[in-house]
Amino acid sequence: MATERISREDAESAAAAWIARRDTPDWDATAFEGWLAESVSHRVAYYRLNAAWQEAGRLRILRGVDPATIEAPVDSLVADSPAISAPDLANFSEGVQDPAGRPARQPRPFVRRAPWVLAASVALGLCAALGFYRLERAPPDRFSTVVGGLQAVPLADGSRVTLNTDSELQVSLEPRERVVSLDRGEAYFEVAKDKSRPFIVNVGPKRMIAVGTQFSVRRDGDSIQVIVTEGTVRMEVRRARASSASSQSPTSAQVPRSTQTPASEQAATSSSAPGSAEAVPQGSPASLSSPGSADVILLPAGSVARAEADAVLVRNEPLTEIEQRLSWRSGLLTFRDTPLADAVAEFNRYNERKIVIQDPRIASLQLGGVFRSTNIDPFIELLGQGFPVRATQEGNRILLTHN
Amino acid sequence: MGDTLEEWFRREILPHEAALVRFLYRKWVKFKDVEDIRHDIYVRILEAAERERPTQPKAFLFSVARNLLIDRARHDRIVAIDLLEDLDTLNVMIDEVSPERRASGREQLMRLSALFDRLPERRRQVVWMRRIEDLPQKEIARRLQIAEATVEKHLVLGIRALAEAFYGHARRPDSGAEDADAEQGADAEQSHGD
Repeated sequence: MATERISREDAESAAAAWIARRDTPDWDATAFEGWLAESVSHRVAYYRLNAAWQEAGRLRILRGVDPATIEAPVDSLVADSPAISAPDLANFSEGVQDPAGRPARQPRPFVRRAPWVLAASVALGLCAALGFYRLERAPPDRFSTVVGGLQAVPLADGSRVTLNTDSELQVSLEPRERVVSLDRGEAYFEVAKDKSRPFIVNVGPKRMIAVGTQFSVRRDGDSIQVIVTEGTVRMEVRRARASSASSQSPTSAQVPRSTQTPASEQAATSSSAPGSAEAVPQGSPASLSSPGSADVILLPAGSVARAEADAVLVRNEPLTEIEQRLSWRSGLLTFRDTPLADAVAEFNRYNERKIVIQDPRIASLQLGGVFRSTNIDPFIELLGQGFPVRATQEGNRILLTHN
Repeated sequence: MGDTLEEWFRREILPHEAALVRFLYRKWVKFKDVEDIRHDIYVRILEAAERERPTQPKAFLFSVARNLLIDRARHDRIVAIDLLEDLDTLNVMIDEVSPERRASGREQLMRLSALFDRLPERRRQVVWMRRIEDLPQKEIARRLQIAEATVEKHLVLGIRALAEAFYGHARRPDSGAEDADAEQGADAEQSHGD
């Protein structure tokens, strides 16, 4: 299969080069037609790249003034704010008008890793306009959000915490360490580098330790989910007994090997193992550590770790999927092959109006898409159009039945 | 049938790429092979369509995918237990995801803008100027004070990265050192005028 791989690679590089060269004076139409006619492989590569390249022109709408298009993400980020008028959008879309015109790009720590970046920076501009800058003042110790809330909290050390819906945390910046305890909900941490002051997130008996990195922590009772987008996070599980093993001294032998392998390699390795009849799908559990074997787990970027009362499950995901999991930072929920039951559970985190699945037959329907977390109705409407599902309003509940 | 083969391919086949690739990832699993298999599937599709366009392109696409997977499974002597039965229900499966299809326009736009921001600095500038501002390569080279060949290099890499994002692949466009090196290498070939 090696020859095929080389030929795809070559065909795609060449196709991209033809597209890039198209407008230049040395464009040779005859040579291009000749290349195209040479093989089906060339045509496939060219058709595919050319289509995407032309579609990329749609990004123009993020640059110009097109409130209708950017309205959704903007609205969702400032969900608690009054309605936004079109002139506001027109003014602030200038902020993203011309990235190319800013050769020395301004540092945008929050926006840089956000999934829907261009749209999100518009929204941040809006926050400033609407007086949201009061958040930049020295913050108090305790922060919380209501159901459907979303709040970015800059800390005095330069770090930033983004609180998701229905969340509560406490911050104390000590001279020797920075300590946050997440009492409820979910938060995303962008930690300012400071080697002398580790950044510690406590969730019940577990703590996540970072120096300069970005990660999210979600708490559902005793269950914790940690997603690392940048750098490495050290997860420590403190146990009441067996405390002889100091949680302060991690030994690398305890680190699950597979968590250090990029997802791609890992999937490739495991599936090509001799005699492996069943290949490990990408994104599948990479390691299962019981507390008996590990007090400390290193989580590199791309890790999704779920810690239950007595076990930690770590897997690796491509960064694009990780970003989707964190799209709540832009007020969006991203589903991909998600069972309806899970999608509904997500929506219910963000809304006082609760969706209730009344028929188990529809619970496992798979769906995909991007939705605003605080806007149930379009979701329900699409559901009715695409699936055999009927929705009935009953007080503050939306009941879903099989149609 | 007044449209060209390219238009047909773009309209009838490419929109299913995200579903196709997701399926390949799930079934075939060898990460590094997925793009090649996808390419091989397209080659078979186009070869067939050049003779006669299939009346049901999507069904045809997935039946080609299915046959190719089976061929390869035989060839590699990999016994993928659930491969065959899953393939049989595949068409049903992709017909059920209509909310996803409706959301796809905005989803694509968001993927594009997310990808765009993750491109290395210089590459993003070059792609932006070329695609969004329609500046010629020469003008881009002048504005950024880099060689035209460098502009082209960034464009070639940018075009490919955009395609991956556009079709919704689970792949990191800025993955690590390789990309950073490419960016550095491209810039190092000429001296900055400032």
